[in-house]
Amino acid sequence: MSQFLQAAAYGVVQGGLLGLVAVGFSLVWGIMNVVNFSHGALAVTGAYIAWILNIRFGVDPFLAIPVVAVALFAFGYVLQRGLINLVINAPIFLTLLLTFGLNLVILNGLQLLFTADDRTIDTSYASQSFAIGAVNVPYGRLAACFLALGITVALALMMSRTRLGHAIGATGMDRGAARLMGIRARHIYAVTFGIAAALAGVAGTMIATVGSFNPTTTPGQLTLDAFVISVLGGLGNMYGALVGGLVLGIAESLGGLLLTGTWVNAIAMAVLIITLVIRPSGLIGKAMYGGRVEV
Amino acid sequence: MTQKPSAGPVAEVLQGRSRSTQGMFGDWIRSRTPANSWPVVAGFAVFAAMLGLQQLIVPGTQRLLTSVFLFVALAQAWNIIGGYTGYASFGQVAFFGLGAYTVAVLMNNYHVSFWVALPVAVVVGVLFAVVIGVPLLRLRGHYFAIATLGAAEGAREVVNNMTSVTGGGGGITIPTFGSEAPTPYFGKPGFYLAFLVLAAVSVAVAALIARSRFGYAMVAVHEDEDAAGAVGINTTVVKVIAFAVSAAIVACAGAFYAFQQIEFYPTDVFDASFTVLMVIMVVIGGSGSVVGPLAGAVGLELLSQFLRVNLGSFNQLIFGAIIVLVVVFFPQGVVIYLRDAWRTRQFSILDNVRRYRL
Amino acid sequence: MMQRVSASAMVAMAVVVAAACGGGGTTSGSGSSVTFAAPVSQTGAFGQAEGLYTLQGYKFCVQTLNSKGGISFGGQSHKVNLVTEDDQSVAATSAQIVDQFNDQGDKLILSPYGSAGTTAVAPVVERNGQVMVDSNGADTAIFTHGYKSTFAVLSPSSSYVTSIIDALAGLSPAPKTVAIIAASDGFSQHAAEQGVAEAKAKGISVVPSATAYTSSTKVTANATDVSSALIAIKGTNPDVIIISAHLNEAVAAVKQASELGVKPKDGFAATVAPPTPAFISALGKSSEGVFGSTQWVPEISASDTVFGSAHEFLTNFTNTYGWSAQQYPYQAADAAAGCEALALAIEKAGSADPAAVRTALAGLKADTFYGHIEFDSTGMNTVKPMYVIQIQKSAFVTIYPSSLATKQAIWPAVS
Repeated sequence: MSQFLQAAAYGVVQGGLLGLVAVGFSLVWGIMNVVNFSHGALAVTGAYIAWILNIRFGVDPFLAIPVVAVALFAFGYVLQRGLINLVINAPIFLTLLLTFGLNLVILNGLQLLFTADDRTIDTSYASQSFAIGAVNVPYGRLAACFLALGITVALALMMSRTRLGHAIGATGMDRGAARLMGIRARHIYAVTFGIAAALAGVAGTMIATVGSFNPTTTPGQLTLDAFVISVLGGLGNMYGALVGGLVLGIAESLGGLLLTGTWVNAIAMAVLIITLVIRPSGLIGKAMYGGRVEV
Repeated sequence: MTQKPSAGPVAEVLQGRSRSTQGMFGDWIRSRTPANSWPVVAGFAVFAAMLGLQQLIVPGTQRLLTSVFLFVALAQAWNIIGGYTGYASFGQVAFFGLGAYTVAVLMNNYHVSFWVALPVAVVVGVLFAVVIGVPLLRLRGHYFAIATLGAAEGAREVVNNMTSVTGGGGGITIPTFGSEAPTPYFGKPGFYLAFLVLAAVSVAVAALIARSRFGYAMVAVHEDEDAAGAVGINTTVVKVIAFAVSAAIVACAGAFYAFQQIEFYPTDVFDASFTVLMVIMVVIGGSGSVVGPLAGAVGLELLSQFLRVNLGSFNQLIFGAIIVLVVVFFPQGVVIYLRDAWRTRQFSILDNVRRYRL
Repeated sequence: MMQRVSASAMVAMAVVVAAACGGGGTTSGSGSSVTFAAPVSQTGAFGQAEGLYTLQGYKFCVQTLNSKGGISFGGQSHKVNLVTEDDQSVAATSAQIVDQFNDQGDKLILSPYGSAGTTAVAPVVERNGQVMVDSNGADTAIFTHGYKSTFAVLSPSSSYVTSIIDALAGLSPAPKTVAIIAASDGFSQHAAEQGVAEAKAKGISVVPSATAYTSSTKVTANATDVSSALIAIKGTNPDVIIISAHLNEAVAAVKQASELGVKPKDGFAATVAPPTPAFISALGKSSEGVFGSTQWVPEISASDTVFGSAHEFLTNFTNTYGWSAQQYPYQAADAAAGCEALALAIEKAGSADPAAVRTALAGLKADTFYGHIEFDSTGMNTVKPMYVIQIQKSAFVTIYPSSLATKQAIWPAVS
């Protein structure tokens, strides 16, 4: 029983972090109908930036977050404006291929710079945990959970209350009409992608702090998780991504307990396929195709 | 009684009329003129050349060309479901892996001859395609892509976990030495021939389908599925059959691959990069045509080999960069770009970029 | 019509290009040089780590041999020419590369890094009449197929966990319970299986059960999340947690154990990972006290005419490639030993003909800086033992066998 509770608790805190990984991915897919294969690579880039800041300058990863966010936002903006915007109107699998190629470039660039070795950021507190009975809750992941929640709320507020948010939503719903209203679509798309990249970078920083990462397997794993969670939660749905993350985290953790640990990936895939077949709009979302931002 | 005017193939599709295969073939033969016989003649010529080259070939390239033929077959297979029917499947590698493991398990665990295991592998691939195709082909666009990706990953995980049958993470080995071997190993020339035949058959199948009534139905589903349904095409049947044909070719390729490799792990034959390579080859060559995937497969496999040999640790990075550049500058595919450019005498690549950008 | 012509032209052109660039820009051995060919991992999972160590080992060996005049046979000195190609850490690619080497006439093969690659290459070598010295593929399964052309200089997988158990049993007080987490790949599973048997022989009980490493404490190879295995172990309070896997899983286990409140009384031990510089740089302070089994330590009193003593090998190698003598990659020693064994066999056979070299390898009995190299009838080197190190103050300290120990083990190993 205590194992079950431990698995459930760990699944929840893992899920919060996974949700953070997926929020940006879901946003980009929902607004621009772009499936970003390089999302995981962007997250790992953020992780490396935080890692360097920690190793060279002793900066605590939580303090490094704003730096990572700004750097990744700029990178994402440039990528979208300069590259992805060029194929937006083409058939969908062209953007898939473009982001796939981008993924290869970023991954291998990171590997050449930093080697394929596993890295992690060593902090004195992140791996410590407090115990509630027989269940240990790690500080680091719990903090990541709260961060994820905070960011999601902030993002949702931005989308519903600010001009920028309205512009993004409008462009997502009907790009032509938005342009007629004077919204600069190229810029808005770039801003959206920048935000998603920044979120990915922050998620990567958290992953580096509580776990480990490397440029060969981590990006692919993160992107795959982001797929599953976005579908679960509904495209473009901020809170949906968080809920989707929680569901996946718990499912994987409990699944790993009941079956052996090697079934975890199969579980994620099963969750994905069942959701798509039964309820493609996700657990919370309403819109099926194209992006409607639901908040 | 007045004669109805003879209708073209499109009209036949719309009216659901059936024709005997003999009748169609007869029509086809009668309609051949020197001008439109080019593709068939060229096809045979290339096939014969490849056969003959086997004797003259510079030794280092035989294995390489075998690889090229494998990808030609895979690209053609993907093109059937992705290019013509418009359902971009990202899980084709599932059939490859299933075909490979079926052959390996039958040969290793039950000492079945390869020639018996091969058709079983194809049947397994087709069955799996039908089983997942019926629910998944209801989805469209990105959703279908992701769902098939999930199915492929799931298939791999299941195979990975059936350790007692498949060896799981420890891999599986087909016995090829001594009395254990149910079928003697083909050897390099044998596999060269096998994959060449597979590639030729896949090109022929793709070409035949493209010109047939079924091919028109596939294209109709791609262009406007609802309209196609409205004029009486059973879209589900069309999609599932296209998916199954594609799966059959891929499973067959997987079976040959398994025998060639002898020893492999789940991650090798369920490697998602096979799928991505298939897609890239078709898209870069030009989807929706027979020649595009062929050119794409040949070009990309040779490029990949060249990079790996000459650029060492940079090869993946450069490969990714090349993909990005080709997608940006030739979004319709290199072959189709060349064809259109030749026809309209407009070679500007920048115009190409302007067409699809925001 | 354009597309038919262009396609045919492209195919024809492609064939010409293929013929021109062949399978690699190198020439096979001829005249006074002998070629050693190896697939190496320069990109992919082993890219800059284990693949690099292996490549450096091969290069160092070839360099050293050539500086001493090369290999002498047939009354002549032959320089060694090393040919490598990147296999992207994919086993199937390693096999394809070795096949292509054969097309070029390169029959003397050095193995890629890892059991997966070596397992894929072995049947190819067998078929083509090549001969291979395996320096980094320890899975015993490689040697169960009756291949006659593959010879491994390193100790097989069965020694990896057993040596740890033996080392632990020799400490006082000896641990009473151990938990074993094993990755799903063949090598890690075999190592764990033998480790469980050894633990039973030494009176150490395995928790949560003797077969847990095949189910509840089995993790996906290269996973960065081993929480399910740790949760299964939590509550059984093992004295030591042993991780039979590679770098990623070991790093994840140490980190996540702390998160989940799984604290083994006496510490952690792992195969493969701790004796590599990457483990220390990944975990930093948390790597202190972790035990690891290794194929080679510089304290062994072994030497040969090529590299000198084990210590000299360490000094020369780390100076050449910029590693610290405290954190040396043992895979490089494996690789250099493999290359040396091949060279010794050629000299013994008096020719570079693969069949003759094969026979010479089968009967080789050599004492080298690496230890004693001798192969049993299946091609494994079962006479060489493995050693155990502990990480103390970010340095590898040999602690087992006790005759080679330079310092005391820190025991219990947890702070």
